[in-house]
Amino acid sequence: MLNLFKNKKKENNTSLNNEMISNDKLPYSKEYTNEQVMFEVKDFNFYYDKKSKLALKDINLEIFKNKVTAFIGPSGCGKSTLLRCFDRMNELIQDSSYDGQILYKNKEIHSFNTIELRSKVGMVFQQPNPFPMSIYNNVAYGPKCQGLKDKKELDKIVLNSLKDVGLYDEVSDRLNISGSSLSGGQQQRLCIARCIAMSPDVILMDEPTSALDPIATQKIEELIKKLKEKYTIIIVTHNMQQAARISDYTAFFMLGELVEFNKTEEFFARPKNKKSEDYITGKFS
Amino acid sequence: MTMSKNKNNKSISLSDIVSRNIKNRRFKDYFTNGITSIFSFLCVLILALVIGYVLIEGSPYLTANFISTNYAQSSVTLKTDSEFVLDENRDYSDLMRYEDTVYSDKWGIGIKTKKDNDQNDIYYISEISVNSPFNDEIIRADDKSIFQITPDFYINYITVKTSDGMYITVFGNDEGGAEAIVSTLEQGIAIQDSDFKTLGGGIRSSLITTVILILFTIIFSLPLGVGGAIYLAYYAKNTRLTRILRSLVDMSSGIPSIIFGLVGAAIFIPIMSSMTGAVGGNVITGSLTLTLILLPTIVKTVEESIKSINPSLIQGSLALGASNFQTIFKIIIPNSLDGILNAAILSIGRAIGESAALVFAMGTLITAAPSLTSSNTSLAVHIWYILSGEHPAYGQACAISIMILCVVLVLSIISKVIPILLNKRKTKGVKQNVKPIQK
Repeated sequence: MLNLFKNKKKENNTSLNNEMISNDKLPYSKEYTNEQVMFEVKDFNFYYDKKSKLALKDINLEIFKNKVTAFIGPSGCGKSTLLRCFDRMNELIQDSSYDGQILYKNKEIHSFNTIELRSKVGMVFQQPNPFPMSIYNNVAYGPKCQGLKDKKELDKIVLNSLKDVGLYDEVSDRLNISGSSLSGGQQQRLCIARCIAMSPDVILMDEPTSALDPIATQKIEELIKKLKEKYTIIIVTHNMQQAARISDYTAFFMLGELVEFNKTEEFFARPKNKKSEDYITGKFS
Repeated sequence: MTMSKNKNNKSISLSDIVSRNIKNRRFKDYFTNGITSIFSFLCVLILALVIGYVLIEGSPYLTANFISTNYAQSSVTLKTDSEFVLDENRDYSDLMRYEDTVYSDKWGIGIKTKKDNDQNDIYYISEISVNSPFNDEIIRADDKSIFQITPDFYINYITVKTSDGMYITVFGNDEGGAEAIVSTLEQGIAIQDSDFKTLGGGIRSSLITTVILILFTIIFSLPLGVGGAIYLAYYAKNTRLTRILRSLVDMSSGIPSIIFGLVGAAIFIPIMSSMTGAVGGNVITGSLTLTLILLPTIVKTVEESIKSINPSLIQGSLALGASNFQTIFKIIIPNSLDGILNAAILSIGRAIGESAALVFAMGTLITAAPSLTSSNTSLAVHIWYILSGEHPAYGQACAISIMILCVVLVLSIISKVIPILLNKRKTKGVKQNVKPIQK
């Protein structure tokens, strides 16, 4: 039931290596101390279907603290797969495997318990997926699962989370109505509130606005800009303008490989790779 | 000749063929329309006839007595002590003197009429004065103990001894009714012999057994079935083993129930008797056998309903750091509640209706006192029992059928209403006591 990626396109293994720039030693890495690197991906490969499909190939990447990193690329390029590797959601998919390393705060993510890791690395999905329970219980779900029972503390967390996503003023008088009765944009903000109720370090967002209308999208984008003061955000998006608007760093993926990773202004103004340039200018999609 | 015909055929245009065939084709259309509607009408008619027959045949028998009495008759023989002589001056002023009751002023009792399960008049002692010999001087013929007669016992016959040494016997089914019984009693000074019987023919014990059977079946089958379904739908990976497991579950829902009854009788009864010393089938072995029959259906129903949960809810829960256990109890079970309730309703329906398997696994002995360790009958087996004798009691079988049909009807209505109620709860909001948080 969790095999959501079954219809993945057959990966084409034509190598892009010769065109790639080496991102082993990124020039801007020196700007950050070790503490400011949230995730470090080292020589990471990911396979579906008992190693028969290579979804990610030799990924080397660093995610910096309190920055928004956007993953862009055509469909089936592996950007969502990589995102889901950060909180080990890919392990729900049968017959998937990996090699290489992902370090979270300089510790291999597989040395963490999934419960522990996922409480520190939150995730927002493409489709808003509020639980069919009250708004209050939706936001309190994570803390309750961690064993927080104190009503006052829960109230405080729910209140702050809803305020942070700007939902409190809209729903303050009806916290006991079902979360699924909200509008799409409100539902997605509820899901973000649910996520930050856990006070995570990182929020992973898998195309959070693709199911929303432009106004709701704008609200979410403003929210992301605000949230990066507190959280590290990784966002997968199909929308290049969105990546340009909200992200600090952009990673461009193609056919399971990381083609270019750079500061967003640099990436869109002066792409170093021919493929990136073609993608940005819309020569292929 | 043939050439010219061919040429003729060729010259016929499509529109000609259409106009020529249209009558024929329309007739065929009307024909199929008519015949299929007749067939569907026949199906409904047969069903209506069956239900109508059951209702008409059974409804006269479906009385409060029928439901509240046991199947087996019990009888008691009462008499007075050999030296007993009734003295005339007893105080019976505590009798209530109802209009529909005939009173014997000599013996201090009131006799009333009621109908038995075959609609015949029967007479029973409805009232006994404090000073009446029936209160403390009438003894059982067999063990000489004092027996307090209750309204459950009706009068089969009474033989009294008169003051001149004669014996007069009055039968309960004599013409003359309660007055005849009372006038006979008035002539007597002692009761030489009498026979009192309980009604019998009722379904009280079978009804109680059915309720117990349903309870135990649900207790056994629902946790097992839901657990199995959660494993298959949530934990199990899609390997060859689980595929085989799943198709085995599917297949076993087609096995005739009598085979399960055989297995239940051959496995559960020896195990039960070695554990409790009970001989033969009982409610526990019956419900275990029903559990065997029901498990595939329950697993299937609940698994389908778990699979219909939006997977993003489950992923959302896991992504928030919830454990599998928490996800199962907070997301999966609440969201597959309609499936679980449906499975429970299915189990109840099956437990009420199943007879073939239970004949072996639970026994066919209709007992007066339902117990967990002795043979009992459910309502369906009760029908089987009263129809299998030399004098099949069709009326009473129909009366039981009405009860079963009513339960099945109610269950199917509930199973239709539950999804609507659950959906309302999902979309309209959850009634929970969540107060607005103070700013």
